[in-house]
Amino acid sequence: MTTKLTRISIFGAGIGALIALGCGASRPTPELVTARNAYAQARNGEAAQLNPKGVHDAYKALQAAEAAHSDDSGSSAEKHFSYIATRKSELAISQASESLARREQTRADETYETGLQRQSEQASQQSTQFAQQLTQTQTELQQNTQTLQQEQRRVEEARQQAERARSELRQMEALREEQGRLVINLSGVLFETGGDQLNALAQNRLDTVARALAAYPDRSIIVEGHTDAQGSDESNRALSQRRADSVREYLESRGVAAEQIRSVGKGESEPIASNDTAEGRANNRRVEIVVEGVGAAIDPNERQNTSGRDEEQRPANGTTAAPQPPRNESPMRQAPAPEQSPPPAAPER
Amino acid sequence: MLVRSLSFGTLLAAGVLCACGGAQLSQSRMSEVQAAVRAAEEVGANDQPKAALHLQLARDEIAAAQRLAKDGEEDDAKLVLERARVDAELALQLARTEQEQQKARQAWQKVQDLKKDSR
Repeated sequence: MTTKLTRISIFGAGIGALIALGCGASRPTPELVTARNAYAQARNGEAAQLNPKGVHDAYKALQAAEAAHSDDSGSSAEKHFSYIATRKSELAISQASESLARREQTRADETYETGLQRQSEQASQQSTQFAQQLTQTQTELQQNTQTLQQEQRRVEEARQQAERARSELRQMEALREEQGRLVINLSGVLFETGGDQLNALAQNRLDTVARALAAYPDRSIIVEGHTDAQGSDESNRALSQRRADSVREYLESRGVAAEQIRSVGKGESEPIASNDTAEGRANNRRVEIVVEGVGAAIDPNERQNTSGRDEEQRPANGTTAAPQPPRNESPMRQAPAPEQSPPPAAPER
Repeated sequence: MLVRSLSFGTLLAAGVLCACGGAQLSQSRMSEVQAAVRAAEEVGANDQPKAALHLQLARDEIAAAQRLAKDGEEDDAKLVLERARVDAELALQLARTEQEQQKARQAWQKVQDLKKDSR
């Protein structure tokens, strides 16, 4: 009894021999040739590994065809079994292709999932980066806003401080606005008699003036010293210059910029009252602080001191004017209070 | 006649292919083949050229087998029916393979589209 393997070997040899002989009587039908070719294609292709069972079935079918050929070459049986064998081989090949297609689909799905995950991770990373950038930008914005608010508060505080100082000044000192200038009239006892050192009360008043001047950081300021007509022109001019210098130096020490302020001694050349009376002379002994380029828009409250007062209180140089009675319109238009005048019995300088 | 040309040995070798013990064309065998044809049609074998060819062959062979059986040529009918069966099986397999290949193509297209989107 031959084993299957032996039968196959014998068969294979038989087939080979028949083909080699090319004997006319055992010439295979075209159907058998087709079947042999189909089997060879199945055996030599992917089907051998992917579908060994299918290839084996095809082999068995070819065996039957070869047997029919051996028995009766060219017979209908040979053609029939060759037909079956060809289909079996084609079946084996197609089944292998199906397996291959399934594998490819699996591979494609895995590749897709990997790609999707990678995309997702990238998107997640980008999202995190954007979130970080956004947070950073928001923080910077917040800081800038805070800085801006602080600056705005600072400016507002400075403005309010200057406004308070101006208000204080209006209450303490005589202010007038003339020809686009603001004039602060400091009269009364500012200095020791005949001297140029500021007394404590004057320093106190000048502290208020300095705070008010902070509202005009870009305006020129002139400190003008004035005296009454007692004594010589020359000595009065020198004294008024020294006194104006003292006031300027004090204001500089209180924060007024040196480049902004200068001092000039006018002596007795610009009286505002008659030098014939003690009161008039007291009024003429004064220091005026002039702020240049201050228009009406700067401080509307000061418009109450109209320029009409100029002609009455500032006569031409050298002339004297009759003392003016106090006016009732506004306390700021009056001469300084009597208690600020020196005692009549003391020498007047 | 086809059967007379078959020797016993050949028939034995062919025994694994069909259980042709009796002369009667088994109705169950006919039903099996017709079922295989229907299965192939359902999978869409008619829409694929190669599968459609084998499907048509199967149908023609079924008709021929029925004629042969009617004429009393039972054995020949069995053989023709056997050919119908392998053709129907092949038509079914070809249709299934094409379906799987189509799915694989679509799956790879999805991958390509994903790559394009991520650029």
